[in-house]
Amino acid sequence: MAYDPKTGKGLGRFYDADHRAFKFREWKGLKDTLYDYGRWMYLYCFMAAKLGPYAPQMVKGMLRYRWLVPYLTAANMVDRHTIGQRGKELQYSHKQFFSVLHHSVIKVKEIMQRDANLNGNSKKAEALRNNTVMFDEMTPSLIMMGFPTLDWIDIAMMSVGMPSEVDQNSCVYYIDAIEHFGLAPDVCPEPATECGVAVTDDYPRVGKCYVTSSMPCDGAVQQTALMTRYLKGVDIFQITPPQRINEPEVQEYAVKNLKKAIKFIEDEMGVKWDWDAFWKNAEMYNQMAECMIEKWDVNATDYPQVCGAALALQREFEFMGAACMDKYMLKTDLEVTKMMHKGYEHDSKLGVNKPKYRCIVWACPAHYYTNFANWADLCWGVRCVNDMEAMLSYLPITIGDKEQALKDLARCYERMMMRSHTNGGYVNLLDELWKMCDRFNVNIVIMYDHVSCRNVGGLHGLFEDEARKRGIHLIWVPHDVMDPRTVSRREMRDAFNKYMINVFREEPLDPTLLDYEDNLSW
Amino acid sequence: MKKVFVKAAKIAASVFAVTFAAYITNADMKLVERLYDALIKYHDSRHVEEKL
Repeated sequence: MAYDPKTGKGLGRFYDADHRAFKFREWKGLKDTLYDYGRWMYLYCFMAAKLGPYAPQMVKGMLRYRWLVPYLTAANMVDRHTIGQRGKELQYSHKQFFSVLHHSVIKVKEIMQRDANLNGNSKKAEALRNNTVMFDEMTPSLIMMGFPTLDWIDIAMMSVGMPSEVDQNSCVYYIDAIEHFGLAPDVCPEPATECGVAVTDDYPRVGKCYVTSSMPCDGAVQQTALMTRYLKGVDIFQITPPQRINEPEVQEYAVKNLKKAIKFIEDEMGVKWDWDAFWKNAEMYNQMAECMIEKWDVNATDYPQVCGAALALQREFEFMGAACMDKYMLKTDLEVTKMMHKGYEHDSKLGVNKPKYRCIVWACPAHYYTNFANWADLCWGVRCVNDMEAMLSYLPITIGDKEQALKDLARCYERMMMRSHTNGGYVNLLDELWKMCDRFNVNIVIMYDHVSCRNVGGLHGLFEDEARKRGIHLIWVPHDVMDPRTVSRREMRDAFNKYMINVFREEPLDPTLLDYEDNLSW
Repeated sequence: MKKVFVKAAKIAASVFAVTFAAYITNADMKLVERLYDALIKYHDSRHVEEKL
């Protein structure tokens, strides 16, 4: 444990109210500190190797795009999620987070290579743009499995999603811009930020056409409408998976919609759907989903291994950002799964590393506080064994049967981030939670109370009633997704502290983490 | 040959010492903080018209 009761020194001493950066890095013991140092060096070397050749574009990009600045703090993001960790837990986190950063660095490089705003009249950049499909953040690019010769870039993930998780203040400017433009301030900050990036003309111009989706919430609907007006001269297709996803009657429509999307990309880009490439990529998708299920199985036991943000964020980016087509992510999945089984055998044999409390995280999380579950573990011993963000589609794609494979692909879109749970209605949002509590043997749920989300807010009372019936502790933690001014990280911790002190009558494992100022930090 | 090896070992040790000192004192992020603040200040000073 990182807290020393003799000296009173704990992890809270690393935070500095007047600075964004930690005061210094943690000494984790010789072996773990050297491992952490090695990973730190590797991250910088990797970034230098991939982005170094594009140094002029990177400098221009930093001056052109405000959202690119937070990427400088990538090492701090890793520190936030590995603070207090030791041994195999530290190694799981490093590997999981590096695979996310690996993917992001490659995508930043691709933006630098082809962005019209940074490359002027470059013919090479233009040729790359003509071979690239742009995607919206809430639309996984899984459909690209059948287009091996095309590139794709999720422009909203790279300019909104990822920066918001790296730096808590990255979206504030864009939220203010769109509210100044006339959008009501009670709209979810996620689509609001995407609109803010549009009205300040801060999206990179990296592709020929744009594929988006229809998230069934008020914020996302206006975001899609606004993006359509912003991307003048760019053809747009909206993938519209059905909302009542559990009903078999709607699947035929879902496949029809996907076929139209395939036709759109074929016509726009002048290529044909390639079934051979699709089977190969679907195989990779299945392997990644299998790794995810294995992690869940181990976390359902008394000795969970890959927990918190290391589990959730990696799956989120693997599925939504990389569309399960990143070979490095598959390599990481296979490595971590192997390490995890070894770790489980060790812990179960010796009966060690059993969490004090087990919890799952439910509802839309705060992008600006992705390490909240890590904090809950370090401060109170409440370990997050699964997270709704990790519960994306995991059922396999049938290899060899074309019609069935398209149905399976449609199911992936139906169960993408936010759609299947927070926007999926009573059965998928409420009933599913109790099934997960049983499956993962937990009686605590960190219930993220997204103050601007009408969908989850509408079920608030029902959650309370049902949890009370079942004897489950619902700890409501308010937040505003991408706007830390509405509910700060400190206020989120305070809500959790109050429950642990007043209901559980608990003492914190590390009292220095109870209350500290981190409004300025990344 | 031995001289080259000793020289290489000295260089490696110096690189390790400098980078480890930067790592443990979080000097990289403290430097990034300065750069970050300067870049955000620059962006704040730009006039951007909100339009569609």
